[in-house]
Amino acid sequence: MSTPSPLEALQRTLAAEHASIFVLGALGGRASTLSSEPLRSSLTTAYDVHLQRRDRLRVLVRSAGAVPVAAEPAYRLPSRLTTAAQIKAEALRVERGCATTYAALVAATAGADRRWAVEALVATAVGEAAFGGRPEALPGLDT
Amino acid sequence: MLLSLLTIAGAGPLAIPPYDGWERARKPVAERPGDRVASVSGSGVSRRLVLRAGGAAGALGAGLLGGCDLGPGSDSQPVASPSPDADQRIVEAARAELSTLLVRLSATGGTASLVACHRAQLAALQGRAPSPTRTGRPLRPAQVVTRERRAAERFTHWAITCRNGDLARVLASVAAGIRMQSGLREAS
Repeated sequence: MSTPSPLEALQRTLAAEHASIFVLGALGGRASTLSSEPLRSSLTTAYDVHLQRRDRLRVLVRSAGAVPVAAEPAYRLPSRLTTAAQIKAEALRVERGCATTYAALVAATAGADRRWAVEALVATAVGEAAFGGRPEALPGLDT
Repeated sequence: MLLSLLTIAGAGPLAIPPYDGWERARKPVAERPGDRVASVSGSGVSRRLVLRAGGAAGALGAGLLGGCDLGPGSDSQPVASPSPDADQRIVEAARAELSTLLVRLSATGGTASLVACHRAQLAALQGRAPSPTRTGRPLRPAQVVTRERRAAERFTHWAITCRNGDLARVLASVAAGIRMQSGLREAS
């Protein structure tokens, strides 16, 4: 598969962020019924970070002369999200997926956009620890 | 902030696009119409592609490293317009960075996970692991952190400045992989 154009990659990353925000919001809602304060706090932090990235991506897409892709009204979630472990595991999947997405954005961009994508990849990989992610040698790559 | 509405929407029997995790997100969008979580294509571009990008990097001698922009703190001038040759030099410098770390870390106790990490990263760049007979002086814990941070900064710089996108992806992933290691996360 060929590397997408920078704009295409930005739009796809934005679409992924829309989904991430939805899922993390939902996970936060589920976590609010549990007593795990660290998990709630981690979800809130992650949610805020993804909101900022979504906003930044919208700016970048507009700067490229395009209309930012819109979010879907909702996204279907896994049915089993009742325990802290299930919620945490799903949040980790979101973050890992985002790491892959940002790695692809790194490949498709250059200059300031690539710098931002690299920073997002690094921050996402580091943030996986909050949801039980273990260190990897090559986060964001299919290994 | 965390709207309960989202929870309701996620749990309800609405005709909504599927969100069933990210594993399938690597498939092309066309395979999952309507799923906005779906892929960033090209995610599956392997390190092999990168190494094609490195091209003849394996044939380069260490002498080429003399002209390489070794990153923040280097005396080299920034590369205004990176060329394929510049990418080859980056690949060589990246391999050298990891090899040097491996030699020093292998002589340092308590660094097995870092050694394994750097071996995998070096393999991704098709570099050869240093000979076990090549020994370096052990590092103090503070030196390990300093050197790892510096390596992460260099890989970040190379990822940003190299020309080839697939090479950039691997270099950025290496930087992220270093930052993920215990004891270095807070430095990110």
